[in-house]
Amino acid sequence: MIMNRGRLMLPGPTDGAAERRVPSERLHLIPEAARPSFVPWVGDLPGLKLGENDLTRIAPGRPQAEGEVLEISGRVLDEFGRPVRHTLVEIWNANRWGRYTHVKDPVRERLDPNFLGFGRTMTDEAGRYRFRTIRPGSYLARPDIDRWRPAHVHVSIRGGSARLIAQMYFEGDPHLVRDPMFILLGAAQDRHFGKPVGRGPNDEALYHWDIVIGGRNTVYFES
Amino acid sequence: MSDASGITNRLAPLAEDTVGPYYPYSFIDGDRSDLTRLHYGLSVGPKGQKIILRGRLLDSDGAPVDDALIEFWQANAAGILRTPASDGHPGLDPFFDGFGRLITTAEPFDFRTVKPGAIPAGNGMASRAPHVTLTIFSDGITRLVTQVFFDDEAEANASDPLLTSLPPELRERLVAKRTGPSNDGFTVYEIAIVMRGPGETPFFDDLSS
Ligand SMILES: [Fe+3]
Repeated sequence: MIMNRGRLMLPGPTDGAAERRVPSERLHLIPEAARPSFVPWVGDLPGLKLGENDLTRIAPGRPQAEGEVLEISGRVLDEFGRPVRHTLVEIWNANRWGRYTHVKDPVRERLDPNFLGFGRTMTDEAGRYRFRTIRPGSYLARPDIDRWRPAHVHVSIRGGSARLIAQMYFEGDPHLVRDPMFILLGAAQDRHFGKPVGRGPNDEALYHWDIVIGGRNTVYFES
Repeated sequence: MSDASGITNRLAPLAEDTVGPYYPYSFIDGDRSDLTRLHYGLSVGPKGQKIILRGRLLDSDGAPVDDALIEFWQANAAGILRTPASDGHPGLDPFFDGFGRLITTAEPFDFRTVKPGAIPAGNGMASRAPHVTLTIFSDGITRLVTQVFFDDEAEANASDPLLTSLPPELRERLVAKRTGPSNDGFTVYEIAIVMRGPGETPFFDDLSS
């Protein structure tokens, strides 16, 4: 009798298709002898271009997008508090009116010609990262049921074999209390808030947010 | 905090979430759906048998799932995974790093690559049958992870520790079937990845295993 009992995945609340895409069976556990090849190493990341961590302009020297400038910084850490070095951090967020530049975004709000809404950076030796972006607007994610998403910044961590997709929220957002995705975080809600830590020299709002990667995936350290 | 192993002071990780509907396509750098050539117009490339892993990503209605992001990870033709642990290994292929990426459409996807070699036993690990690791990102759900094997590797498959950890009736769902060669001489292997429902593909838990 083989016991294969991993997590049972549940559909997320954002998409009507999720219930047709989430496995009905529990995930299978990975035998120890098979673990290494489950851990991708994206070592050959293309070089970053200047300004790719500054979403407030589409390129250095171009006009600034509309809205309040945020500077989000923090560290990428594993569960033991060790820095995850030289890993790629990608973020994406809606513009100040809650619209993505993504071709599939049906929201009718304005586009900002000076805002693409995605950027990336690599963590440094101490696992630190830093982004500048525009404070995202909340958006009507499901017009059919009048469901709004609170303002949020998406983040993806990859490279260094670790992988995480998560969202940073803003404390006090009135839409949080009815957002199923936020509610699902339960006791983990607090650590998904960027912590406001004052204003920068150009009056940007400074946020601190540490990104802790969990699970059993190997975290490789570059020497 | 503490856990069953008695380790204390662990940091609590963030919660895995969906990529949502608006994960930027532009995060894809160049074309990582074809690992067999470095750049247009270059004749050098990785060693090994050129293959197409042709897949259909299907939902519980049997309908194709478009707009999913699939990442691929595999050993080179010599069975070596390029990780920091294999740094300097003589079997590494300078023209192959084993990481691919594509966005699905309503049509089957073609991942063009070289056939991975069996990963030799070592470090207390059993040898692994040739396989490709797939990570699937789609709106509304968190990551799905699985591995795909090849039907012309029956002997290696029969002793693979991952395949044999599954009930026998599920194993063949992870085995791609060799069909004819493509017009440009690639060996084609086909597989259906069923996210839910009848014929559901076995997926693996890489967080709590
Ligand atoms: Fe969003």
